[in-house]
Amino acid sequence: MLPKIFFGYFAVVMVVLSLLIVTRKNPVHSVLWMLALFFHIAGLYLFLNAEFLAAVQVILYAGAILVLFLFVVMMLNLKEEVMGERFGKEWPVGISIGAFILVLFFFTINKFSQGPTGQYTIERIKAETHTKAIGSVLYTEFLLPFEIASLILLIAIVGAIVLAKKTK
Amino acid sequence: MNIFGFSVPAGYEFIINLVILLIKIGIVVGITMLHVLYATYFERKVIGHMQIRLGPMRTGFHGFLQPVADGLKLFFKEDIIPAQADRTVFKIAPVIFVFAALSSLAVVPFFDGFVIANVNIALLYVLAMSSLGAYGVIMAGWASNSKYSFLGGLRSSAQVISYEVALGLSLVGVMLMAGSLNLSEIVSAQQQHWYGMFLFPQCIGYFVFMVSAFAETNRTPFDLPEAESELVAGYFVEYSGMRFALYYAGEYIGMIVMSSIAVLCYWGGWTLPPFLLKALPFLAVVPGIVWFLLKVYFHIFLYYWVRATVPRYRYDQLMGLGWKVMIPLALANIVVTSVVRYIVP
Amino acid sequence: MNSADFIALLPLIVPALASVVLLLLITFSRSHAVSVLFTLGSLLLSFLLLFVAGGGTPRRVTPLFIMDAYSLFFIGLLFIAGIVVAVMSSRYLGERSMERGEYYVLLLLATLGASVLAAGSHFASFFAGLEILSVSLYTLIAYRRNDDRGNEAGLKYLILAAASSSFLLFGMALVYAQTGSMDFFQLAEGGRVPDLTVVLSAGLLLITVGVGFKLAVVPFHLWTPDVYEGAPAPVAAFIATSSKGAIFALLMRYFSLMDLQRFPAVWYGIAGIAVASMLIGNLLALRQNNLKRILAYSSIAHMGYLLVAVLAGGTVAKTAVGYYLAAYFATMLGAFGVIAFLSGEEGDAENLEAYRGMAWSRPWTAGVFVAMLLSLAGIPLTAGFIGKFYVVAAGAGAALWIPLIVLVAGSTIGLYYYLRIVAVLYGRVPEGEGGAVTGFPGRVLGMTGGILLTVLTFALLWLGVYPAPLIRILQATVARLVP
Repeated sequence: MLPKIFFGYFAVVMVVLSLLIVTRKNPVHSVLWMLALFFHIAGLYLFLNAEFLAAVQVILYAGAILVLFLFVVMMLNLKEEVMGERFGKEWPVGISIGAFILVLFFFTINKFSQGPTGQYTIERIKAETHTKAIGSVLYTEFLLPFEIASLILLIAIVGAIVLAKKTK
Repeated sequence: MNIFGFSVPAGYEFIINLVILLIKIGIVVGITMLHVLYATYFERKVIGHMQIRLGPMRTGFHGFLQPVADGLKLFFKEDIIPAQADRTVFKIAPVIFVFAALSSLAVVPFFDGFVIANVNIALLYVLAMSSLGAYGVIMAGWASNSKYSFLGGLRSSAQVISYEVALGLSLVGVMLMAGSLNLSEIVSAQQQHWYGMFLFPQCIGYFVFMVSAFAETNRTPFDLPEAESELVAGYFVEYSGMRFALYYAGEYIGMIVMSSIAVLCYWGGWTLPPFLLKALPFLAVVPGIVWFLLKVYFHIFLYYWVRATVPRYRYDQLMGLGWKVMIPLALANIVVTSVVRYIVP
Repeated sequence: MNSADFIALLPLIVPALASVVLLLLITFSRSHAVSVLFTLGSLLLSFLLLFVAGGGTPRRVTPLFIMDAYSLFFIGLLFIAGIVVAVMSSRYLGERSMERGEYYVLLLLATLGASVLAAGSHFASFFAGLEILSVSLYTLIAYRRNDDRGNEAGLKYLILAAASSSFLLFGMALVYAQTGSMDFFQLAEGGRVPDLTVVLSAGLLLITVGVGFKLAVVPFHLWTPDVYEGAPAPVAAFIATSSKGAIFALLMRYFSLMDLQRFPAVWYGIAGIAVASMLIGNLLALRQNNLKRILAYSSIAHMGYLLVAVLAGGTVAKTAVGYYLAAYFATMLGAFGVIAFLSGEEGDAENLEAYRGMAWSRPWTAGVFVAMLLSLAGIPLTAGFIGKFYVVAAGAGAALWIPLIVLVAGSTIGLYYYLRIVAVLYGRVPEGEGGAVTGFPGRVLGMTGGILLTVLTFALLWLGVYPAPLIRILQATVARLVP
């Protein structure tokens, strides 16, 4: 019972927060609601015994990425943003794409069957601690994608510097 | 379950545990707030004497009641919110700031076995909370609708993001040495070595950690977000009364938290190095909390000492130091530590 | 990972290392020639290493990569495309005052990302390869920073690629949630349970949407003309060839392992996409006067043709896809090559009217261009014809009559706009402007351009006249595709 209440709370609040994010006229408020959303996502991770992911979610998403969002958004001319319409003329397109996904999920969700259990059960993660479990999987089985992911970061850095550098 | 000789009926342990937890939280918060009060007094006194002044002398014996008087004054001050401010954000910002600082205390073990939440990812949690604290600053800067506040907020967020990288990386050395993120386990891991403190093998990490901790807590020489001479008081110019007091308290709590982390990760927490205990066995009589507090007080003194000694950095120097010196140093430290750990397990 | 794994992965490791070394190199020397030569050298080395890696195939290197003849063929194709694009860029960049070294770093990494896709056999390598490819393209597209259209193109690609990645991830998550596996081969075995069809279909449908954005098929094509127009011509050539070819290589493997026919919803979805792409791509190209935009719409239509082969499935279809892609690579690179080499500093040579009467003053350049256009249209004696012929054969084998009718109709419409360009090339310059003798005001191709385009033209004609060797290679690779 208690887990269900927990999950229900997180699910409902996350949906509400997401709606708040997209409907606020003031982009700074949107970002702050997003901060709340990220904390709820972290909470959900904790609830799933994924404590490392929860911490990283807060450190990286809330602590670094969202601060950069806020940085950019605070530089906007808010008076114009707040005066203007919240949505462009194209909003029906967005709604229909969202509706498509909703319908798709609606039809698939009750067809889900219990998938096969992996080797990392909750007991094993609890015994081994989540950080260790993630670390050992990341540096053995998924070492190659880990290295490839580091290349993505390299590209992003090079790209950002090329685009931002002042022309002589 | 049995508590103080009374047997607790099954099913009610939950409530008893909750009560114990609340009492623990009360004790920790209470003692910390007391420390905050007297940390301000201590700061004024230390800096005063370093500058050949006396510091506060009027209220009570040698100004001993000064912090109480200051607190009372702030409590009764009028609370002003600027007309053009974003009221909600303005009001939430200081709460977030103090909340982030105080909740870091939850994972700090003060002596053997006394910790509110003994979690496995304590170090990451502290880092997460310190990054949350940045929101208190940046929100205050934006919501005040004043250019001084805004500049302070921007400076602070850039500074905190930059130095958080170095802070996290410097702690990786400790994680590698201890093989855990749990602060109690880090302390006991230090006891496995004869030197008893990671301070010695991790001296570079400790240096980077302390410099980054100064930047994270916006203290001199990195107090650009609140540089008095340019930004009046930076991000909290527009705050007054209790809300101002919250920022003030949050800053000192941040210092205490950072000092505690430094003590736990590098100075062996509440323990003494084994070689020292072997030489002077009578020291074992002194309870661990005393050593812990002494070490923390030393670090807080370090904050004041640096403040009285070093002038403020310029902004580009601050960024250059962070990205070009501290982060490479921390990375080199990780490489060396892991190689050494690989050779000497 | 043991040494045999490393040898098998060498063709992927070399470009990754080369990009880092090049990054260090340009901090010491900003010489353009050094960057170009280094890039070409490392791509050539990687290409030669494919033959070394071929010794141990087929081999699975961790669950992520499969190095078999099929992936080696496509990686080889991608490396050749990378070399051609690098040569094109050397002159294009050489004349402009831009940051040059980083361009080649990004080009190397983009080629690496495409190769990771071609060798991928796992959702992790699928996604990582795709992200490497698209993140490098964000910057490459916006490389002409002082050009508004370049910035617009970069931004459009960034937003749409990010949105499409989210669809892709949603789809992967659904498939993973149901089967507990991200490995294509395990999915192929575990996904055969009929109960799972609905969930897997939903996942595959979302993956198709995500991939559709990258392939620029209708209705996910909206970004294509703007991005082609805004991107520097060599980068547009790269997007048209490598970025799409790599995804196609992966899709062919994935869909053949999953057995697409078992998922009617996905099958019909792809059929709809194919039909729409063939029709709309060709129809929209009719009204364009900008060469890059025409080529963009043409590439949309070509992706539609290729999807017909995917729908058909089976060995013939896989050979057809391989052949079609090789022909399409040569043709698109040639067409964009002409534009890139003729472009001056003031802007890309993309305006159709500027080409009027070029054939009279520059018969060879115009001849090369015409050969490329005829191949795109699928005229006999060019590679494009054999490719299209193969696709039709595969489609007829699977009795896909409606898509085939649309394919033929689309090709007929296509003829019109390809021939329209040819007509302009051979047209008369209006009197009073110096007559036809002064002719085309643009630049000369130059040494590298001349050699490169001649080679591409010969490749095109050779593939068109004597396709047997390539087909034999393809048949040998496809025979071993599904273990």
